[in-house]
Amino acid sequence: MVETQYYIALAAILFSIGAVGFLTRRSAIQMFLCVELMLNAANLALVAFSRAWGDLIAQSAVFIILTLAAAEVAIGLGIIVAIFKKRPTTNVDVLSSLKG
Amino acid sequence: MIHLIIFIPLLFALIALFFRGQARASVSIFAALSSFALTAVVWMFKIDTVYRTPWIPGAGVFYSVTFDGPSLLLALVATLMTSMTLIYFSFRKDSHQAEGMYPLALAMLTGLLGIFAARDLILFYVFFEATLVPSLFMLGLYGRKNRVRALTKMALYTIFGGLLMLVSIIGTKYYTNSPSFDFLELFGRTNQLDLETQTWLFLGFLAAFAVKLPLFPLHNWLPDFHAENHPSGVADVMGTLYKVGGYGLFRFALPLFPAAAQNLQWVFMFLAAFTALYGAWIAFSSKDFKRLLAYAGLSHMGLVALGMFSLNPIGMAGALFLLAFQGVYSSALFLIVGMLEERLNKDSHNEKTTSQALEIGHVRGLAASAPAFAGVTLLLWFASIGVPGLAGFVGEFSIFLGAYQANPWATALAVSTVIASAAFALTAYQRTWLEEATTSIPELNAKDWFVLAPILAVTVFFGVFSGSALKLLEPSVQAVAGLLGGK
Amino acid sequence: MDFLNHNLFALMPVLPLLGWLVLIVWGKNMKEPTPGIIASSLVFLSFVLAIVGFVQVSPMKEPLLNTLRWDFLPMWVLEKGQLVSKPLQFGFALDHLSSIMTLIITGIGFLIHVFAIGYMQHDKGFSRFFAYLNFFIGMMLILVLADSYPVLFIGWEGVGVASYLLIGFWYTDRKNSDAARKAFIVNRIGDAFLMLGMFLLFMTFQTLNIHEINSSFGSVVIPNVTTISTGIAYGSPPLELAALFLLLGAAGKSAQLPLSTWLPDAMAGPTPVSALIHAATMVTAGVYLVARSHGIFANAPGASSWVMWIGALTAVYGALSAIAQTDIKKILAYSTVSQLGYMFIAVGSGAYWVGIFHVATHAFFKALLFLSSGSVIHALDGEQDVRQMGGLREKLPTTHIVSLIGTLAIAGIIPLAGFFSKDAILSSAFTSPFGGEFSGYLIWAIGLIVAFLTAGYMWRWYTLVFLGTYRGHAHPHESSSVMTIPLWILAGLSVVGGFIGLPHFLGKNVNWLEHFLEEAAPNAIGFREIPIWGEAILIALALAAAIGGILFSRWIIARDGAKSAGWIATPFGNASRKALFLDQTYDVAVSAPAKFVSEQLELADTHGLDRGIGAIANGTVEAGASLSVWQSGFVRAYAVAVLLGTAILVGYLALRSFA
Repeated sequence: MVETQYYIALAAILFSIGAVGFLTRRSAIQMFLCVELMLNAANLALVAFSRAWGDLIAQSAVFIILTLAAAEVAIGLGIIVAIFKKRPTTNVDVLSSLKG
Repeated sequence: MIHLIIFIPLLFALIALFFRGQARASVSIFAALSSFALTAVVWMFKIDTVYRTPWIPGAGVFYSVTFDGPSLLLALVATLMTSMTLIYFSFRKDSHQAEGMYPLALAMLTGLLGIFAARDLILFYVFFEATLVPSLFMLGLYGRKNRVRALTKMALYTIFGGLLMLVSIIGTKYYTNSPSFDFLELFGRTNQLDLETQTWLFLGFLAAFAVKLPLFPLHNWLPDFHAENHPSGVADVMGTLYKVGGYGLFRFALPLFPAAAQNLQWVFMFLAAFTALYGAWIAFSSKDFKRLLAYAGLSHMGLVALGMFSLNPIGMAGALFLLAFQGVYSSALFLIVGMLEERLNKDSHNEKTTSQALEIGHVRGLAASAPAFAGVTLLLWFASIGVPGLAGFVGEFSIFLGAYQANPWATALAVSTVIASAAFALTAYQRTWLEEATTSIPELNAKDWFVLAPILAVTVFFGVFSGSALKLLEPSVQAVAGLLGGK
Repeated sequence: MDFLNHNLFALMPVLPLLGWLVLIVWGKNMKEPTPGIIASSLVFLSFVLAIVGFVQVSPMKEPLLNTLRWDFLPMWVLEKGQLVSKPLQFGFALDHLSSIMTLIITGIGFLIHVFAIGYMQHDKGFSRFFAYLNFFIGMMLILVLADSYPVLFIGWEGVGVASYLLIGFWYTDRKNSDAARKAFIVNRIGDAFLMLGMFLLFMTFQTLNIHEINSSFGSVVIPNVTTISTGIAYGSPPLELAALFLLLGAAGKSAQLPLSTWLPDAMAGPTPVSALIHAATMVTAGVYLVARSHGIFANAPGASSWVMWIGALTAVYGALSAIAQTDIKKILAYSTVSQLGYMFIAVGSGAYWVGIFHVATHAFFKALLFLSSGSVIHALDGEQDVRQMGGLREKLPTTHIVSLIGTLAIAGIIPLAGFFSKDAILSSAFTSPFGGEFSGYLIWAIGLIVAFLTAGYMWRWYTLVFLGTYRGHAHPHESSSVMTIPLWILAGLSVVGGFIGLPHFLGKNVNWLEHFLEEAAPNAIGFREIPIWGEAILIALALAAAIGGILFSRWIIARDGAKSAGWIATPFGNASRKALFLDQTYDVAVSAPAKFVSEQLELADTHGLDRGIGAIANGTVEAGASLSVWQSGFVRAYAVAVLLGTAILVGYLALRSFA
């Protein structure tokens, strides 16, 4: 039986990788992947705690998050592809036409 | 029965969407007329049971409706005038270009009937605000050139006032620890509130009603609303019927917060009297018929508010009477303007000719070619300025009589309106109908008479035999006046 | 039968109103005399009903109330601390006072209708004219038969509407439309005060029933009507104020100063017939109102002396304005203003029967004079300038004779109608209990001067129209018999009309009218007694003033010639012709400022206030724009912000849990 804190540590590492990646990358797809990574880090933490407390609510929440994430990926990638069709790049620093 | 009356128009508005042309008109007119007929049945058999069922139980919101005296009178007027207006609209040449008017008007009618019937504050609020939606659509879809500006103004004023009222409604329930938003449960608890709380809650309600009445200085949306609406006058009639601020005061604000009302009475009496005079005075210089009628309506509403704030049974009965019957003759004047516009305007899509057709004194001496038309117009104007023997007088006189008992000075200010209103009404009438004829127009035809005859009959009949309408108002007014100390 | 007894008289206003409805709806399709005949016969029926009513009420002590009533206005009164709903009823009452008025209105009204059939022939609006006339008579009857002030007010404003329609009858002429509008608006000023008076009366008496109010003073006892003990004292402020409000209301309708300007304009309007309707009936409504409210005025000495003074000033004003007019009808118009002033002196002095007496006699001779001038205008194809007339004595013999009778009657030559009523007015002013002795004598003296002036300008009118040689260019012809028969009847009444109110020194019970009205409109208490020889001297002086006026007028015309051109050119003549500049004063002092303020308000409301609201809207937009800087569009900047925000929150929580 692996201690809970290892899972948490792994989750924290995954989250940090995702956060740093999100902040440093410019390609929309790469940023998107980083977001997914952070999301899954959170999922991992949830599952870990769920097992530690013996409470299944968090596990069911993770299932819902997974399905939602799948839908989100579908839409998100779709948007990125649509943008790429119109614009020559997916560099987010260039894509700022929605600024206030 | 009562649910049928309220929701028939909405149901048929949806059905009418599937039809076009004459069929849509027929369906809509049928819906309005049947709503009117059912309301008349309620009147005849005196059905005034309260129907109450939970709507959002968790929040203590009930679907609680009834048609008691004042509601019934207003509902009768609303259904009758909507029917007549839709009939008139279906006769117009340009009605096929604005077919959306039918379902929108019907949707508004449902909203209005809901406002009159609701006895739950949240339900009332929902109807009160929901009615705004079709009204804005009418303006936005079929209005004239500057409609967006008028629309923004109206929406901002109304929604802002409405939100303050919503806050007050929630506050009322919160402070009184009432289990529900039902008027009957709130009422009786509110008088245990201290004066300061009462006053703030009262002012919240007032924000909505003062915009809707409207009262000076919250009236600014009204002239634009009327001036920018479709020249046919359908939207104007519905807007006139939608002036339910006075009713809201009488039904909710005054009985819930009697101490606050008494405390602020003199301020609002003067404000109301000033509004009445201000409207009439400005109307004298109006150059456009729609604006003129808007300011005349503002003046009427000042009087309604004066009667309500007199907190005197005579004044309140007069205010309700005026509120109901101005819905008949003021609306009819909008229809008259519409008929006139149709006769004078060669191209309703042309902003310039439309403006000219609506301009006071652009053409003169129309009475020579259309004497009956002129006579009907004059009669309605006389009703509007409160000439005795017509429906306007009963309300106006009672308001003054009641208000004088409470505050002679404010009333004296308001009574000067009768001079100002005679001046503007007769001047506008003379400019268009009398003097040397510059053009000629077709006389009223059978279709016009079909629309106007019932309106004229109501205007004259209730000006003399006002008893039957007063009987409807009497018990409610007595009850509210009893609460307010009945001075 | 009992039902009929009580409600028959209420049919009086219904019949002419029915005629109005019929004529307005179907009149257009009728051939020429038919509408006139329908209208006249309906008024005649009303006249018959008025006679029946007169016979009915003559022996009665209390008013006859109709039983067919319905709720009209909502009213609540406090009884023992409880609100009790007591709606005001729409009902009529017939008593001696209103009976006399109905006789005058329907009788004179009928003659006018008949005359108009001749006068209005070949007019395009023939049926419309009779519809309006019928409407007028109906409203006037509602006014005098009402048993409460609001119902009276229906008639009151109703005749205002009728006069608006009649003055503006030939509306294509802008002048007529303007005059009509002015009449209605000025009337409404009076109406506003009348309304205020009603509100104050309701506050004081908790009722607006005329008979209940009058009987609460204890002077009239009416069974079936609950008498309320109000404890309102003689001359108490609410009573005085209410009486003043009623006075201003009456001044509007009866063209008293300062609301007199509409009447001459109205008279200058289209038809002499409508002009006459105003002279003989409508404007007497104010006098009737004061007499009807005798309980209030008799107990309001201050307001009553105001009534007298307003009457006296108006009488002088009207007479001075009439002197130099050149329009045949305008002379009579200002004469009407002046005579109405006389009536106000009478009712203000507290002798209400005298006011009604002069209403009656004035109705006879002024109707006669107006119809005569109508006949003259008709004969001269529309000429109205007296300088273009003269010498019509031979050409219009009938009109000439009746005009002479009318002139002498209004001048107050014994034994014609005007002599008796004018004498009664002067002696009642002399002995009035209100306003003190000195004020009474002063008003009497003013009245005497006005009598002198009246005889003067009326003689000028008569001379310029009928004597001398014809100066115009038309071909005068006598009117048809449908027009001359009413003239003869009115001339007869002008001769004998005065005998219903003979002065006291001829015997104790010779005054029929005073006796007849002593229940419905009793005199105020406290008239000063004067000896019989004193009364005779007063009468002699009044007669002397009248004869002096005629002689003076003869002398002036003989000096200046028929056109009296030199005379009119003087500053005084100019002022008189412009009616002492009252109209101009109003234009400068009231109309123009009101219009200016209205225009400014309109501008301010549509643009100024709008801009203010617009500024708030723009401010909101700008505030939003300044915040939108943060919305840079750089996704990673947002991410940094989120991260920093999270860090701060976590840091805060961590610090708090450690602290």
